[in-house]
Amino acid sequence: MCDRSPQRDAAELRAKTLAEETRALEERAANERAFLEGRPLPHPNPWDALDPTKRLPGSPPEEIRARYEEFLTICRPRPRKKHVL
Amino acid sequence: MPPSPQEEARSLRDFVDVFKALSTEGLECIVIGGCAVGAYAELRGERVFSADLDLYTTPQILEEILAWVPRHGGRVVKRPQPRLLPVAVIEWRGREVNVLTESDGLPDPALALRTSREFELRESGGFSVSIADPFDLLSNKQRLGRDKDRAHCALLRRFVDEEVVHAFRELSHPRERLAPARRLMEALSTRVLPRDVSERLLPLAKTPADFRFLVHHLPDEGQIRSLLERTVADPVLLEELRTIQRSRRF
Repeated sequence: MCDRSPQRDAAELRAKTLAEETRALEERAANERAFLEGRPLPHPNPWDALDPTKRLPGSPPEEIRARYEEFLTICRPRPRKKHVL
Repeated sequence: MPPSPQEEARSLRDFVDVFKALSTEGLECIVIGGCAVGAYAELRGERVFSADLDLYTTPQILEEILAWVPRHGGRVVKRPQPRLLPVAVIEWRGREVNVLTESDGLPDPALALRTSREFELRESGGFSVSIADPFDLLSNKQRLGRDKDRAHCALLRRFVDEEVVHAFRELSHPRERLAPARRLMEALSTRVLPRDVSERLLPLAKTPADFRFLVHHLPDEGQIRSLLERTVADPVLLEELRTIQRSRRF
């Protein structure tokens, strides 16, 4: 998990191959069709299952804002240390 | 011409009106320099004074400050110049205020703002001032290396050393226990702990993570041997520590 060697970083930063890009676009299109038809996504993002605050694409701004507020209660910014003089 | 004794004898409280004015306008800055060191000194019962106030902020906020100051009782004496130290000098009711957007050893201003510490001034009705993190200040003063910075470094070391020892003694989460010691080494640009600090941490080590961390960062083999003697009852940990010990170079 903490292997941040330069070789690994360089590998992650390379551009996708044509085959990888084609597959990604097809999966995205399949997900969009399934969403419009009200079906479960055939290629869900695995991280979505871990995020209880996730909202559907196209949610109104109030929902998106509510989502971020919920997220901040789970992942709170570290509070600044305080002193008194 | 060196400052007179009166000019040198300023502390944070002498600039509360500046802080309040900037705060009312939403111009977020943190205090660095002598006044910042003075705040940490005061927590230890020591005294450090400064001739002027040094502030640190983003270039965008500095531009807003320079536009705002002349209309609110101050005077811009000097604007930052390209290819020179990025500092603006403001004269505010007879006092000098320097506003920097970069300084060696300090993180980017946006990050420094988020990691700064809040100092509540009881005598000013509980008004809070943001002071740069003491580890960042130590890193800054180390790199500046002027005569007056050496005295400030010594004081900041006394402050942060206590935070390092306190974390080992009192805190339970591994990251919280070790983070101050890591930050101290970063500030001092070293990969080993200062000997006076490591001597104090040795008897406080209690978790396997503590032991592994210390074997990686103790300054000499004698201290490592003394630490390993405490792990003889855990042969798995002891073997792991010996592997780390063999990788060390002194």
